[in-house]
Amino acid sequence: MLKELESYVSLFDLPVIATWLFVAMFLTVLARVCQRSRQGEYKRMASLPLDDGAVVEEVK
Amino acid sequence: MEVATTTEMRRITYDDGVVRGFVWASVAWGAVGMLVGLICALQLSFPQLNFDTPWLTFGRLRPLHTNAVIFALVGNMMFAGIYYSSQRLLKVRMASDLLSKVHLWGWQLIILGAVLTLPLGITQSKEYAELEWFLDIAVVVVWVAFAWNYFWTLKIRNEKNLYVSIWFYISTILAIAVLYIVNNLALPVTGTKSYGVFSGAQDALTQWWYGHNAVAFFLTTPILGIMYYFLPKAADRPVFSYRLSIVHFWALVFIYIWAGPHHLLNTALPDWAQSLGMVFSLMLWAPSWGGMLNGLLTLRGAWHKVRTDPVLKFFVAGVTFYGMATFEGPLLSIKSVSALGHYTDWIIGHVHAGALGWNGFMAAGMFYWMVPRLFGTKLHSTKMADWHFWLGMMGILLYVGSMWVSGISQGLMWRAETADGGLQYTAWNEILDTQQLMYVARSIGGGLFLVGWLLMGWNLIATAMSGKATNVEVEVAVIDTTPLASEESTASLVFSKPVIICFLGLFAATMFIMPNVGLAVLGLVLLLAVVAFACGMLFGSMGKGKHTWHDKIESRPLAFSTLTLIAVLIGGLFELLPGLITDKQVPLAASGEMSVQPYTALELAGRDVYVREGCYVCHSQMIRPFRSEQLRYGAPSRIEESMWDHPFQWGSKRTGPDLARIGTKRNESWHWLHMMDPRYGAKYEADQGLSIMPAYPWLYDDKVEIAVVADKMSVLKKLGTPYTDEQLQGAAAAYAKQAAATVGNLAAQGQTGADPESEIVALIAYLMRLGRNLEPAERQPVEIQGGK
Repeated sequence: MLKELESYVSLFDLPVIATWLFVAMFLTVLARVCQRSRQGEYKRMASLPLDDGAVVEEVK
Repeated sequence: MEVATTTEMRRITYDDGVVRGFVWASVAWGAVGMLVGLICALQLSFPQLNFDTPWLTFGRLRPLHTNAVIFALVGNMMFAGIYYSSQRLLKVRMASDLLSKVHLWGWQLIILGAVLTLPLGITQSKEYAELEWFLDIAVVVVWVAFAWNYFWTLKIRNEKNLYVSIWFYISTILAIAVLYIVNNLALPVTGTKSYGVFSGAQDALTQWWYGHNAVAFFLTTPILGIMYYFLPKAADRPVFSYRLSIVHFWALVFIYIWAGPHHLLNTALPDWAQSLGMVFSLMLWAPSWGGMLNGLLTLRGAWHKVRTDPVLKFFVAGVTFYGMATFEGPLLSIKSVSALGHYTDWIIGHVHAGALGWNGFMAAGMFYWMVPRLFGTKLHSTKMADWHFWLGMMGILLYVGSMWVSGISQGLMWRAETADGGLQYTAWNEILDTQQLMYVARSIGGGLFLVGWLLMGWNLIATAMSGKATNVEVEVAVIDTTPLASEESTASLVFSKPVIICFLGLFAATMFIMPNVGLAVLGLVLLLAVVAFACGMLFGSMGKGKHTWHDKIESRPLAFSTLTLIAVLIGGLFELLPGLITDKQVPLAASGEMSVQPYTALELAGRDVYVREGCYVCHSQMIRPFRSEQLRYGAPSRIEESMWDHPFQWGSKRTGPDLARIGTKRNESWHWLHMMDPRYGAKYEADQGLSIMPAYPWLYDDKVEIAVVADKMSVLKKLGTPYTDEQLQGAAAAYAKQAAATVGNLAAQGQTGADPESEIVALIAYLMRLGRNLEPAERQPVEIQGGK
């Protein structure tokens, strides 16, 4: 069976196919990252640097 | 799972004293580091500035410059940013004021140690790891104090979720600990001298695994953490995409660690390691640009502020330089581009785009934002900050542009051939002379940047003097999400589906390594399944209101740190282990002897002088398999030729020519004259031209401590160098015999009066040894690239 497979695809084709799979995965992750509908889920975390709390006193 | 939360108000007084300390240390040491850099740059145009003084020579000052900028300027800056932002993001004061102080003052003492030892030639001669063993121990102790304090603070935090900046800080603390300890493993010989446990190609691989990742985890990840905190604050906008920051973080910490071998392309390092380094370097493009875009897009809707706000100006330019440098880095990692750019000034330009543009500008932006707040006042002068920005920008552009021109010119001139197949430029200094205009331009660029930095220092001091050191007490809302944090064990979070899927994907990728169709097909099928499953997980399993796996690990520092460490270690293990566990085997010569013998007592002493003077800063010992290099230097270097080199001296820059086969090219007299006066003493050879090398007159007077040489050989024997007991016992006698022979050769060549115990005799003996190894009986053919 392997011999038959080798007649269709060379050893060098397979890593190329794997690379395209990697690219597909990359694009999927990119699509997921850019998906607007879910951006609200992380709103609080994204705004953490802006939450300094109320200044009670400045000790000099 | 839905989690009930409770909210309570707590009062916290942050420890900003330690932040102020690190800020001032960064500003002051930064000025020192840049001033030393400027002196080094000027020495390349005006070699008289070496003043024939040991501690002022380029070879000793250049490591001081790099260490000062990396560990003093950026180190102190990043600690300031980490202490300031972490306390506010975790809503808690640092756990221990004492440990914070130990960190602050301990770090300054280490830098002082570097300032004192490096100009004295006390060095390991490994780039960015030059500090000797006693300072390495101090670094580890202070780093442990920092890590202890940091993880203790994480434990007592009032904000359960760890913001993205904290992830980058955690990765820095863990990765630097691993990198620094492994690369600096050494056995001391004396109080100021040690030999690293690795040698030759193993040492080269370990060193650049460290060296590259010092850039990654010291100059990049903590500054990204700072970007993710201070840029949103300065722009008054939340980060553009929190989800992108997740992808950015994990991809960056996983991929970065693999890319070290791109510093060793086309060398004698095994091909598989070089290819691994190149591929992962190219993959770094994606996460690096993900981070840059996330930073720049955070400014959406706030771009108008960039025009007037110096803080944002510096941040935007800094992040842009990060993008440019991380585009250029992978580009230079392509083997054919590296063939042109490596060892040239192009690399110096690339490094300074990152160091000045990314690190320098991010530091300036952060200081301008932070110092007025730390002193409860306003910035003394916005106009002066603007001047700083434009001086700095002009300085960087002049610096980087001139190094591009000189670097690419050098690469092209080194390889240029005449119509009949010879080298077009045979005299080294003929090539170097053509770069002088660019070297002057570089010095002006560096000088402008330094002037801008000094303006900033003045501005910040005036700001501080107009206010008073302020410790802010704030009242924060603490959201208790304990149920979420305790519902799953750390182990179940670490060994969870996303992690297993990642490991399966990695396992599938390894199946392409073997030249076997069956394994490759299996790998492809497995990869397909992994991709399908991962896509399903990404889009299917997370509904609104549910806590994702990442939400959970964000609230669990132990799980998060464990996974970060695993992500960092995988690349290191794959890259280093095969090389480190391989037996050291030297091919035999036709006579049955080892083709590469360990250094004799005299050669070893001379080698230590070579290391002490920092010759590796300008000279490589690695002839690449290119026709032009073969014509200029001789046969390509073989991996076994540096087998007994503790440390390796392959180098990374050729301001001077390669020395791997110098022993077959020049005689003793030539070295004697060249070291005494590289410019005027070299009139005896027409093609010499005007060298820019420093003179080394002290080597003719200073004597080698011959009694210590046997101890050195003994330590090297423990590390695997095949010295016999007879060689150790007869070290002094063998030293005297070979020194007398070298003095005899010098006299025969007209150089009389040499002291056999002088350092110059030992150094000449070492240089005469280079390239004189025996030919292996069964020599592996080397494919020579390029040429007609």
